[in-house]
Amino acid sequence: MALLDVKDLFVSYGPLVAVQGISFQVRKGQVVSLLGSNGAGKTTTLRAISGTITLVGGKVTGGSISFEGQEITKVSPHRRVRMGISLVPEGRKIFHRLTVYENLVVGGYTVKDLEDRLEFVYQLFPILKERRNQIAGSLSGGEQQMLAIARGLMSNPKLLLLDEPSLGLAPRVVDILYDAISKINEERTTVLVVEQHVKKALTHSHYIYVIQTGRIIASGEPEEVLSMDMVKAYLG
Amino acid sequence: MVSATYILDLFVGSFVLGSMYALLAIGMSIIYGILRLINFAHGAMLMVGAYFYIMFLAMGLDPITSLPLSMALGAVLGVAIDFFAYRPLRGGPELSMLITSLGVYIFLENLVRIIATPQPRVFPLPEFLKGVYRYGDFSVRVIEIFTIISTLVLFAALVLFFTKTKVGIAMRATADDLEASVLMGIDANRIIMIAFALASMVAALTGFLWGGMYGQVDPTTGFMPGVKAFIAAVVGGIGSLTGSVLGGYILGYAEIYSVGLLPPEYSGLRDGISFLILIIILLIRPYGLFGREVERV
Repeated sequence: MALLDVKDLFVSYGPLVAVQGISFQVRKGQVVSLLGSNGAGKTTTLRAISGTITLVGGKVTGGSISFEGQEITKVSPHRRVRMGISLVPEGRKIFHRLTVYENLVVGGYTVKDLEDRLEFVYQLFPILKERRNQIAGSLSGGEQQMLAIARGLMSNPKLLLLDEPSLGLAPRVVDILYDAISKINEERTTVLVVEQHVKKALTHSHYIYVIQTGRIIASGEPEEVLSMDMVKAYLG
Repeated sequence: MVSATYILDLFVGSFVLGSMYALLAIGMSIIYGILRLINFAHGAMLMVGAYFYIMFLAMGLDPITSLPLSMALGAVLGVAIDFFAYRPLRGGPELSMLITSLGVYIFLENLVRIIATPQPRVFPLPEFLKGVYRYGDFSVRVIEIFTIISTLVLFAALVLFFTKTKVGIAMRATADDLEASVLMGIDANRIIMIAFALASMVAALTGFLWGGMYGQVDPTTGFMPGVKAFIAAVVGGIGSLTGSVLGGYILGYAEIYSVGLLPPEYSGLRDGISFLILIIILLIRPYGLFGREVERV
């Protein structure tokens, strides 16, 4: 059984239909990538899975999202975190006025073993331990992204959703992030990542879906997808 | 020539008034931080808190029990107001909530007018707060000392709450970015409920202090303190707790010293002076002393 099963999902913002009947699955223990250009509906899909779509004026208008076999489209977003879904949003959305440590504490709002989780994320990103008392807004872009991922891991999620983790970052930082993503996956956290950075996604994923104007246009294992002519043309 | 004792008197008076403004301003700031709502009804919570205290005394309870009970009932009322008046408007335009808060103010003032009559009521101060200490020419009332100490203790408690407890940190996170806080598994409605409970409880305590200081309350008692607390919060940078406290004291000192040092015929200008300070500070720092530009989505 798939950990996450999205079936025939439709999402709209008012009259605008952003996602038009997409279906895909994420198996337990995998890293799955959702690739596509700007405006393809990737972020909207992640927001629908995390439930935060309603906070930005959108709505799931059709289809279903199942997590561990349970239909979750009606579950409120904060409960989905307790169920084991954690989204690291586009643009990071760290708490700028809080310290690094406080950001992580809030990330672990739903868990009891805060110290264990802190140790885990500090091990993953040692720089955060060094900067734990610094105000998060004063971190560099790369450090903020590390903090956003670390914060998302504090709730000990079964499924980590990453929205464009490499956006606007230097190649060296992107390498660090993807190494971390591999490590997270080795710790048995399933990862669904949305990317425009095709190369990184291809080398780090078990399975790929390509999305265009709200529809899945191709899917398969990385080599398979890359060999498709239409995908080459679309992703460049 | 003014005497040193007179200056000292003014100092204590400013500290007391500033403390009460600061307490109210903190409540407004907590609610604004999370909901982006300037809660005009907050002043009424001071008045209602004072009436709750009188009510419990009238029921035969002693002052030591009545004060915490009036604070608790204030908290319950605050949560109820949020539930019935503000929650249905969440997600709508900010202006609707602002107008609703004015409506809630008018409602509370008139409800008290109906139940308790418009006549001012004597505020019975407990025996142990009635005394006066004298040192030569200088004298200070026990209620003044009590106001200053309870305010400082409360500040310390709030600082610990907001920096050391998980819920307190989560409240600051929610104020920073509501959407992101939901992604952390925080139930925003619960956080908003706690904010209203906390702010209203502090307002009820301020009502007790206000009544104790001035000896009487009436249904309009909350209006001016509410306006002043709003000014204090804006001067300090609304949303910032440190700013609100500082704003409260700046206002308290400006008011008392201007009245105390200006010739008597200008004493009617004390409220005008508060607004003048507001205008000057907003001209120099539009987001207040500790405020920062609000990000719009």
